[in-house]
Amino acid sequence: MPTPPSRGPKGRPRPERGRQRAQTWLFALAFLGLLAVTVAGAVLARAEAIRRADERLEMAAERGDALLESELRRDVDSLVGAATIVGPDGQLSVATFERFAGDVLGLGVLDDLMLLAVDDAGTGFEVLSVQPEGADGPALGSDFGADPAHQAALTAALQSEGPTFSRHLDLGDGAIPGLTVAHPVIDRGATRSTARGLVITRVPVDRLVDALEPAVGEGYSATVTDGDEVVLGPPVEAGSRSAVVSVVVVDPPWMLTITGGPRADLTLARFVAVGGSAAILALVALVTVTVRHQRRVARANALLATGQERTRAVQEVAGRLARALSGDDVVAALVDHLPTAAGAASVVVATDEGDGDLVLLRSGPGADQGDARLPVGGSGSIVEATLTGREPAWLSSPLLWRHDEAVSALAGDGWAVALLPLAADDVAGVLAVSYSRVHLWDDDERALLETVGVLAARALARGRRYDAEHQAALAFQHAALPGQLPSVDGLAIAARYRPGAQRATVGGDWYDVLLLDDHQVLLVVGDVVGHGMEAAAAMGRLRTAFQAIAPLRRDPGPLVQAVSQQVALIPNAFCTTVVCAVIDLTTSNVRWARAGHPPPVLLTKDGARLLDEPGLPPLGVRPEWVPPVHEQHLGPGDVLLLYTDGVVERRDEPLDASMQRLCVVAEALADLKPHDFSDALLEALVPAAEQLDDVALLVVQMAAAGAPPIVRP
Amino acid sequence: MTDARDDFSTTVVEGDPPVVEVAGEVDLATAGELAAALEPLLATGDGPIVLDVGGVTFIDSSGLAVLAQAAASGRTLVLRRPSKIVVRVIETTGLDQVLTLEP
Repeated sequence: MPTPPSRGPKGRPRPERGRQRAQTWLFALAFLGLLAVTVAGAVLARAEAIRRADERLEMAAERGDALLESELRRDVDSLVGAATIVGPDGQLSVATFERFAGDVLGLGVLDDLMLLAVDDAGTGFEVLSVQPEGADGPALGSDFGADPAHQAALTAALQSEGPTFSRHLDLGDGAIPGLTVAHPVIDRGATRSTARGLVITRVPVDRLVDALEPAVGEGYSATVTDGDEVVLGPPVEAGSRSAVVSVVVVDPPWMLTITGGPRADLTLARFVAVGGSAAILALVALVTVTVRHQRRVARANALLATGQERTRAVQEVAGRLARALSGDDVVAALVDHLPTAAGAASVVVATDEGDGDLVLLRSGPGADQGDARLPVGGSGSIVEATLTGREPAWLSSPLLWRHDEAVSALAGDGWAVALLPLAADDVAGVLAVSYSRVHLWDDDERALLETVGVLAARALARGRRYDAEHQAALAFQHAALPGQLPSVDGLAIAARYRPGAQRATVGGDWYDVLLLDDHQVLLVVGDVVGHGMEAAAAMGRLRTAFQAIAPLRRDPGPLVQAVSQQVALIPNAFCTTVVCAVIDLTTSNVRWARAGHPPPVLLTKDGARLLDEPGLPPLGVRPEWVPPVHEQHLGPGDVLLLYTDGVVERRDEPLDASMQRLCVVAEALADLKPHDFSDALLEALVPAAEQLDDVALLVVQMAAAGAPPIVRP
Repeated sequence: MTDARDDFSTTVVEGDPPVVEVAGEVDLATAGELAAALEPLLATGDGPIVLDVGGVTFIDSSGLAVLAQAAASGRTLVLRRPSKIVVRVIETTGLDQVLTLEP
């Protein structure tokens, strides 16, 4: 087994360090995921900024674990079998890459601790440092960062433009042997800066604790000191699965966080460095892979499960999108269900309605659509780029949209936001998925979210077509209903039609009032199965059929049968339910018949009751049958209620209970005249926000005693 | 919006008579599925068809229309184990006159 190089990356001889050879089967593979951003000076109160930054980065570390693990697996997979790595100093190091149960999960290092970095393209490794255990080396002490020399060295290293991995950052002799901070590197491209770095520790957590304890103190509560404002925390617990040590120095601000312990498979470290007006946020990740195969497999399985769970959850959202009917349904599916599926905090849908501004779409009753407008921000803005370029924007941190009001509005309180373009047919907009903490998206996650964006755009386009058809059906429905009811002396008549609210259901229910002669008035209420233009059209034709046949068949039984026989000729009219009543004003008797329809309600001074004498099945089912006709005397002031099942139908209670409630409410409103009575009854029984079906209601009240029953044609 | 489809299911048990086990809410969203399950049964033979509706918790006019359509075709349609709620809806709509209810 070759001896690991004892030289630094530059080939400069380093002091002899390694008497104790590492027995540990510990191996490090580093992948550097990074974002670099330009920051202005501190805006937030420093202590608060520190606390929040710490919190966010700690959260990001959890996310980073999964990200890195997937990266690791991908990269390692391409390297199975590779055994020799050539370091920058020309020396060879040996590692084995192992495969377990089909997954490349373990890396066995048959030598000393080795630090490897994957290059940007993922095409190779570069040996950064090899350091035997127990050697003297750069270390982290309790005063780490407070020393201006450390700060300067770190900042300079982070800001340097040297070749990749060319710098070794020497933090001097420290209190924690074995901890190395090595090789932060920055590449500055034309458009952005990226910083890369690498930190490794193989110091057991309890040794870290020992080293930090004097500075951190009892309980390890965060400590803020004046001047350099050094914060240490949160607590480190010996033996914990993921100990965290944070050191934050605000001026100049940089941060070192080490996550991991003797039992942790992953180690993550981050730097934030600011120099002058420019700042660099570097997320530096180091994955320490042990040869504890079982744990690796378990972890990988857990990760796989997480990925599958996410995929499943997003599929669930996709299913909801596919089933959504109206534009509101689509927005509701996204706003209500995507956050959970995507592990996000909230989702906002905003579309360009043609005037260049974005309109925030919300769902549900009471949604305020009026004032939620925001300017896109003109050319060059992030949202504008998303809209016109139809490319997602992955904004991992608020720093990336500090000056962009449109993104600020879309992201809300979020610390990271993905802007997905919505583009399909006439839909142009943005789906904003925001997170409560800094967030990095791995390839799978991006692909999933982009897919959701595509599906959402299509669903929205489809929903708009549905809404347009709904509007057309609504207009048609209203046109097909009686414009004005005939005025009948001796009767007060009120009628209502209300389309379903939540599911955009319209069409099919109708009412009609016809004068048969100088003393007979025909009342009809009916309900075509289904909704939409087809139902509205069928309703119109059925209403016409009643109007045409009624003068010839003045008795409700033969009239209903005659229409039932016509049903086969009218598309979508099969199974329509109807109730017909003829009031004879000379006798004050009403004769009625029904087919499949809920029974009328009679409201008298003695109370309300259902006229539930039997009827026939719905129209068209038995066209050869004549429905039985029933007769009832109406006293002065008595009220007859005809209605469709939308007034009483409840999924959560038996029909009897619903109809009983109708009677109770009718009695309670008995003092009201038909128009007010109708409004109050619907308000009580079918609150607009909960109305699923459309409803029709016809209320007829006999004149009070003494009024002459004269019909004016 | 409620998703009645989530809980809805139909299972056809071949036999003589064939039995269609229906469960969940039968409404605008699911009636088509019920109709599709019945269609091949209606197209073959002329004996009775049994619908085991013991698991049906709600049925609206769209669902009733499917039953009515089957009944109007001349086949005997038996509703087995209907809940009280379903029975009342069937009675109110007069469909008890063309369907056979079996406890």
